[in-house]
Amino acid sequence: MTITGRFVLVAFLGTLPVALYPGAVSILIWSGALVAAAGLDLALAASPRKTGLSRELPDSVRLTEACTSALRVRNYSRRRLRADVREAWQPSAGAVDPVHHVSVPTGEARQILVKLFPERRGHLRVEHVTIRSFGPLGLAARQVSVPAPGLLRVLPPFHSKRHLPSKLRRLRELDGRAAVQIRGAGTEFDSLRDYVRGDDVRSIDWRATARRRDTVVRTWRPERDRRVVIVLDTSRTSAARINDEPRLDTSMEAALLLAVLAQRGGDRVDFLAFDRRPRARVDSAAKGNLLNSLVKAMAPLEAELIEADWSRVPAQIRSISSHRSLVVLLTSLDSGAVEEGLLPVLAGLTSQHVVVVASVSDPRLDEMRGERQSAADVYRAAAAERALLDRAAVTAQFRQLGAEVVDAAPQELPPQLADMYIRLKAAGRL
Amino acid sequence: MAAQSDQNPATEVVGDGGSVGRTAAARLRRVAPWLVLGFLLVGVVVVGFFGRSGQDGVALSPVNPAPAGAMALAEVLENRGVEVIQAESLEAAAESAALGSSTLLIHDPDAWLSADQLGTLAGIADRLVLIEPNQLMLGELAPGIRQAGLIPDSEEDPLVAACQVEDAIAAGSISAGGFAYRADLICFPPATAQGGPPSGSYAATANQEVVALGNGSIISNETIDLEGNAALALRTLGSTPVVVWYQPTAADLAVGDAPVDPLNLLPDWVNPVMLWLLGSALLAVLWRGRRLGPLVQEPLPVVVRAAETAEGRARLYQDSASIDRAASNLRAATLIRLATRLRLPATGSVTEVVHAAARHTNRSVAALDALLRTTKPTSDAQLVRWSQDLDALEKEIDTR
Repeated sequence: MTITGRFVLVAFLGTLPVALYPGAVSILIWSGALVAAAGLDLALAASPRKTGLSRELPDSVRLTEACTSALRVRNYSRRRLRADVREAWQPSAGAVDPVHHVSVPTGEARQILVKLFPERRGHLRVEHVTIRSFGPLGLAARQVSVPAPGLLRVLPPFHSKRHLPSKLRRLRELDGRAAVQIRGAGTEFDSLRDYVRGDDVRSIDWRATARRRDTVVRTWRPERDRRVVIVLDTSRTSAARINDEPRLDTSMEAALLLAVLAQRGGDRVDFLAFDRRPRARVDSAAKGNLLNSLVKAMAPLEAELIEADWSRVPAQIRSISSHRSLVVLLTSLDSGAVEEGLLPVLAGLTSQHVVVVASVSDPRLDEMRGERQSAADVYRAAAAERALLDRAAVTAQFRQLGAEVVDAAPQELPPQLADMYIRLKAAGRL
Repeated sequence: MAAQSDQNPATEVVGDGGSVGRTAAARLRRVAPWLVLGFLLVGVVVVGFFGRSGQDGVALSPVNPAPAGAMALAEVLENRGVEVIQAESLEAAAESAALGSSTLLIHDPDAWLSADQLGTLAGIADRLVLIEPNQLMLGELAPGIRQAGLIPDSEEDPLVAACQVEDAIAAGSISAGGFAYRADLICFPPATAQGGPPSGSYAATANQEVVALGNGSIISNETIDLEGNAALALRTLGSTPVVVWYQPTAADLAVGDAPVDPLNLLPDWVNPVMLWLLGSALLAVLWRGRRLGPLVQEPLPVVVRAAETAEGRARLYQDSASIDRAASNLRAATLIRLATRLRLPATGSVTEVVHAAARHTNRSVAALDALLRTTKPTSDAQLVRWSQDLDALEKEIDTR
């Protein structure tokens, strides 16, 4: 139970009789009246335990988008329910108006709409609903917190979607052009067309030319139905924040853009989030919208504060795809963690697959490098240079082992990774 | 992506499975330890307040069992059938003493009583025993007895009666100390007294109705069993069926002396209104303090800035004054960038970079060689200047 502001006001008004008739009698009478009124009010208040609560939530919402949680309050008691109802969303759900006042007649129901502006990706929860049911006098209230759990999936925002149209256009251009310029080993026969100047003479199909008057060339299109395996590192290095966004979230953006692009390009996309064990997995064979299942798989991922176990990654990739695939490792290029973890297994991977290592670089290092005003600045610049040199050395080692490296600032990583995919596809290396 | 409505019809939750009684019981269980603690505290206070069985800490008090008290004497008197009445105030003392045959004991070391007040006590009791009286008290109650200074500390041996008073003869000797008095009857004179009129630790008027005991400690619990202290005390006080034991306190101060309490000038209603406002304020605290449901947890993400390791390394460089290491980092990075910029292979030597840079800029080979190869900064100031020079060179080549 609780008391209201009105109760306190009435108690305060009691100062007058106490001042006019000082003594124990006036105090006792007024206090007794207060207690009696509050007791009566409590007895007449509708029981908050006889209130049915049901909530309708959107299945999922993308970060930066608003949504509404609809709570239906049904009154099963024999009295009218006048209540403050609070939905106890966790703070990052960004509930704008979690407390609503409702007045529900017996047997009826009212709906409360709580606007949510999620501030974080992941599973946001509401554990209980608190009902404070006031009596008819408005002096006292009964209060109960009813466990009514709810879950809102907040999906990654996929800001990099805006790069998709331009990348898709390039991919489509590739369809018609790739075979003309490049005679890759793995290209597929697409169709025949008339020879135009500039075409590679080796692509002339002599048999077809013999059947027709004109010279005919074979055209190829890039291979289709290749496998793309995206491995997202969720270990401790992915927790580091660059431009106030965890490396993990930036990597997700890049993974989403690449996945959608590769799917449109006719390839099969598998997704794996891994640190010491698989955290999420999306299978290319699964039915349904790839993007949907990807964002749903990514939503609850958090950076785990443990070291990644790269020695298990080859086995994981083998279980996904036994054929030659494009393996994209979204991780970091911090020298210490990578030298001991990824470097030893990379040689094995590159012998079987085409490997791309993508990493978010920190623009702050470049800033630190340029500031040379004071001694502290210069030491910082020197440390930044050392970090960048180490990064460059790791990159060079990766390239030596036959892997491609995409190392870009947070904003640049998704388009650059997409470009890398298009380039590999154009070169017929998939 | 458009938010999709949940496919499952939302299930309805009714109540939290509890009841008013259970909530009350749970609350009670939660506050039970505090309640128990509170009761214990109140109990201790109550017992401490009422459970002292009337004892106090006043010196020579009949209810003080401490060494400085006089409870032993009072108890023995009680056992012998003498009623000991502890008077709380001047009026009570006068009233009790006037009731019948009584001995009035007055012990007022702090001289709370005024001459007028002392005057009201004169002659109301059959016997008056003054413990260490001062001049004022003697003047009002026993004009025949006068002060004769202190019994010197050098007086270590017990004082011997040396008089004809029966009580003193029965006692034989008492502990030395306290004051000496002159009177018609004096006993226990200090042995070291030199000349002058005779004085003694025990002084009495001729009819022995007023007795002054110069050494109060002979009736204290600590020393009553020494020498003949007990005999003297018991004989002096035990001659009447009632002993009124009066030790004035600050409460006995003459009323005219007390300052007027400003609170007494306030109207009657102020105190009740204050009390009421305090109660209202407590209610307001309850009203505002009650949360609408429990707090909600937020699992917070880890916040690690990626550049933190570089910052940490910079501090290490600076704290250990690793100028060489910092300089070599800066030099290596600049050389690599210049090599890329000047289209030189990454494996090229420093000299190649120097020459290529000289061709690109108007600087001399010697100056560039000094800057890029030979300069070794030895202090922070040199390092800053040199690194700025490197930066300037890079910018110069970049803009060309």
